[in-house]
Amino acid sequence: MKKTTQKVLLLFALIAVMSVALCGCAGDKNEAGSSITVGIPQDLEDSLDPHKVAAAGTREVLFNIFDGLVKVDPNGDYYPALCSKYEISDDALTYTFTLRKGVKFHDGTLVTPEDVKYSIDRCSVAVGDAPLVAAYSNVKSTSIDDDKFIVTLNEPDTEFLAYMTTAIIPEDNPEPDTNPIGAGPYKFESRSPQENFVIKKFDDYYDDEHEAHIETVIFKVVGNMDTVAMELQSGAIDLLPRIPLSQAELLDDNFTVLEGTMNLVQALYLNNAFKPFDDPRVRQALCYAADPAEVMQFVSDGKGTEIGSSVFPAFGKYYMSELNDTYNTDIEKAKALLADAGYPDGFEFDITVPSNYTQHVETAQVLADEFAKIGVKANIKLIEWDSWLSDVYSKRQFESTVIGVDASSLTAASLLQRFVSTDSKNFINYNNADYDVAFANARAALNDAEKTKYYKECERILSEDAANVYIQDLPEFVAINNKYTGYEFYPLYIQDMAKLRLAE
Amino acid sequence: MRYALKKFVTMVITIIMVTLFVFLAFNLISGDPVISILGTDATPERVEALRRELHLDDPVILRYFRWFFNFMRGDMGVSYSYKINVRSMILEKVPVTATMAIMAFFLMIIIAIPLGIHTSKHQGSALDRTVIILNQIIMSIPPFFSGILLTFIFGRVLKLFTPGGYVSYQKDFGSFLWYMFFPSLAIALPKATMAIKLLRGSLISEYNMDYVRTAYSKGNSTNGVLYGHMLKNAILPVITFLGMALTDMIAGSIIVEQVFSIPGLGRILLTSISNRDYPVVLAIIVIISAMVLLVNMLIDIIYSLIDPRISFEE
Amino acid sequence: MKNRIKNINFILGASIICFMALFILAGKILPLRDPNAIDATLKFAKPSLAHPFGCDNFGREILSRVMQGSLSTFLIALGTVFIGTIFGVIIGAATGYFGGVIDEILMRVNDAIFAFPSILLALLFISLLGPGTYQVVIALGIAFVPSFARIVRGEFLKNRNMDYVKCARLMGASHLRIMVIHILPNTLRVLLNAILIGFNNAVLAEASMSFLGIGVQPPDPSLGRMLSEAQAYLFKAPNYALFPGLALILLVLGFGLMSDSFEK
Repeated sequence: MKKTTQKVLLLFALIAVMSVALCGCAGDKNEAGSSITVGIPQDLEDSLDPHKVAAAGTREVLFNIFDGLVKVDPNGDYYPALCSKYEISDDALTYTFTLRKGVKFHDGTLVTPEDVKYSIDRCSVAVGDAPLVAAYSNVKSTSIDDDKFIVTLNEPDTEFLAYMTTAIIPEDNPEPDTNPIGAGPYKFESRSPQENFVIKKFDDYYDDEHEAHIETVIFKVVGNMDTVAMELQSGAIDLLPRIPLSQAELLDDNFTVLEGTMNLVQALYLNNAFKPFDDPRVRQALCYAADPAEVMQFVSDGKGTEIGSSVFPAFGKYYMSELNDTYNTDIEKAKALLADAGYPDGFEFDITVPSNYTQHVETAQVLADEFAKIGVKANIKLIEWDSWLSDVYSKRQFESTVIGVDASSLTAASLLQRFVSTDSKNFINYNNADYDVAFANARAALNDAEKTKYYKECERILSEDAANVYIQDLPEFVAINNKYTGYEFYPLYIQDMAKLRLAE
Repeated sequence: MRYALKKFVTMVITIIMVTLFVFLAFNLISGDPVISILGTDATPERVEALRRELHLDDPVILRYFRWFFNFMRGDMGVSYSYKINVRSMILEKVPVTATMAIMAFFLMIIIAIPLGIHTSKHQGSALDRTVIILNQIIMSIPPFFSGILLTFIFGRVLKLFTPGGYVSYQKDFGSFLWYMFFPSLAIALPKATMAIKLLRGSLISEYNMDYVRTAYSKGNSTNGVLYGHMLKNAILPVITFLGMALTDMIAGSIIVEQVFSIPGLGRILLTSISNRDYPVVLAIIVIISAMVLLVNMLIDIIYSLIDPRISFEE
Repeated sequence: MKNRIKNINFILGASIICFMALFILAGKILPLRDPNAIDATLKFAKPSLAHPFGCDNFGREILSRVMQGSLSTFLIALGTVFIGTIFGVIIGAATGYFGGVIDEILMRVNDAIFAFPSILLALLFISLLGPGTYQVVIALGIAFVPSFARIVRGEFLKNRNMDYVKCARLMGASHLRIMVIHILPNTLRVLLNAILIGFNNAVLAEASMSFLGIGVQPPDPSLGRMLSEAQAYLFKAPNYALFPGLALILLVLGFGLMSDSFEK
């Protein structure tokens, strides 16, 4: 046994030496002129202005073009990017960034402290009553002191660093909507609607450690994700994030399929203002009737991570796996709760699902079948994504919906704030005084342990009060041609192309 | 000449009706361009501000006239979602869909006319029966599915083209044409089978006309003049069909573009509809309806040329 | 000789339709599994005695789903063609026969609808009426009117100046009488063809709408919906696509053969 291991190791070493010998030190030279085609299910039908971007699909691509004062790494930690270091005052009111010198934008001009101030101010200036980035309503002032950039807050906030990933852009770009200029590892090359979006390596990138390797990245819009395996096999696409499991299974040895998580809270979101969902017993009954394991069985061959509240596992210390057991499937208990609430014979309601998300449509079908067992009839209504945005999310005209809610930053607030009764994003009309208090306490806490404690209390309330029928964090599969290596998953919606390399 | 002019005027009126229809339609259906633009981060204040910026808070009629006069001046506006000038965005895509429709149209004619004539002449022959059965089968496969089957057969098994490997016409016109051949075939096949059926049916009924029977009874079965007459009469309904088929092809391209990952007008139209990106939708609809109506006008003219009995100039 | 072939076509077509009717009926009578009942243990079960057509990605019985799906597809196509024919014939006859102002106005409206991509029209109606089977029928039906109207109009145009019509007019027959009793029967052959093609198109349009996600609502099956769900599993479970595909072909083939025999 031991000998074989040694042999294998020796073999590997030999191969490694040989490949180095054969290629010489040409690793980087090989990469000159290299390119990769990345499939995306939807075009970037959006402004390319990083501060105005709405779609997650655009945000994850633009990550490659723009750098902020700090940047997030695959572990979810923040490291200094356009600043060389940062300091947070003890009262969590003042954030001081020491700016890097000699950093260039893609158009060759230098990143000045004025550009930094412009970019941050642009996001904190109010449009109507609210700033572009909601969290920036807390910004009291920004100032420049030689090579230092200082942000002062109204209220103490220890999590504010997460929002300083905001893209720094040159003040004088006349067309930020269509010609994005940033200071990231890749620069914008061209775009053709519904066809592709091309970025090229930025040679003057300031950070050698995080610079790009592959020269050209072509994001190509895929027409039909249900048959995309043929496009991968034929070589038209090299890398495909979020490949459907049915297609990943069809790929041959030329591809590696990586598994991560989608980093979202998939749940049957209940409109708490809609009768009978205003009664916690009814919501709890649905939770007892639902079986996340069965959903996963059907939707993704049993893969996925069960969740019991509005935080997904990538949030580390905030994630509470024990909440998965608040409701273990129990049909009798569900029926009893329904009878208790005055619905011994069940009731009927609609599940509105955006038709473009196959996983959510399939989840709704499994749930409808499970609810039928406690006498509750769920009718599935498919609608377009944009009707969903306006009718369900914005106007809140719905009874229930299956969707995955993602986080815009790695702060617990980005997931939990929406359940505060008065929050503008509280699309489920959740209304619980205890929750509002717990959340306010969490925001105010300066001490990390205390903050975590209150956030966990928020999660527990959501779970025990059955705000929604929580299901899972969906598994994400990424297919990559073996010619390339280095793909990394992030805890947020990010496709980091700079990490990719040609395989030796 | 006066006839053509009159036709042209009515065509313009029809297009205006279509645009008005679209404009009103978008006011009725659910979804809101502003919310589509702002996404899940939308706050009521930002929604209001953007609505004002895009003049979406104006009455429909006012917006329609504003759009109309800008359009007349050649200004198609800026896409809500892409922020790109609509004209340049669409002009880049017109050749893609046009190539596909024209290619499919010729494929259809090349397949349909000879087979239609042949099968009508040799009713009940082995070829006739095979064509009928094959027709029925091809006709009953939905376009998206035949697209997938064609991709599989020609792309994966025979490796004649790279599935999903669309090449832009600006980059390499030859490869572009080659790639477009397969989606065009997917569009043309079902239409061709219908055209065969129609031509065959209408030729057969022509055989039974008195003048043909008389001619046949006099032993004139190989008379070229006679055959010319028959074909001329028989082709009328077929021409109507061809015109409709061309329209269908433009609409059908929406599905086929999806299946073959082709960035044409259909894909842009579909996503713009779901993004509620009206400037783009309206511009594409004007182009598509102009194409459709132009084809119809040509058909009417061809009609009156072939059959002088049909004329509105009384 | 020719007549015999016609008869064979008719008998063949009629038998196929009878077969499909029995098949659909069997779905209603036989104690099969509920077409929407899911079962994790039967996910992608291969065809066997217990599950003749196998099971789909939800472990649902493909046999009972094809039966139910054939019915809904058939009804949708029937409804669509019905709406299209009725309104198409009325509009086409009036415009073709009278010409003049009515023709101008109606044909412009007709052209406007015609020039409107049917997908957009369908999308519009679905958004207005909400998703569902009836809405699909209405949307498709309206989208089908213009093509019927054009065909009928063409026939009426061709016939209105023919001698037999002139004779009837001289004899004092009313317009309605001429249109219904004299001209309409002469257009039947073309109309029948159009109806058949329309039926065919309606079946396919239903499938396209399912592909775009705006057709029959899940979990209820239709042949188009099943095919579009099956496309992702074409290699893993070919039976998933094969059986609804076969039902689709039979349905269209049966009517096609029958209509062939109506041709003189």
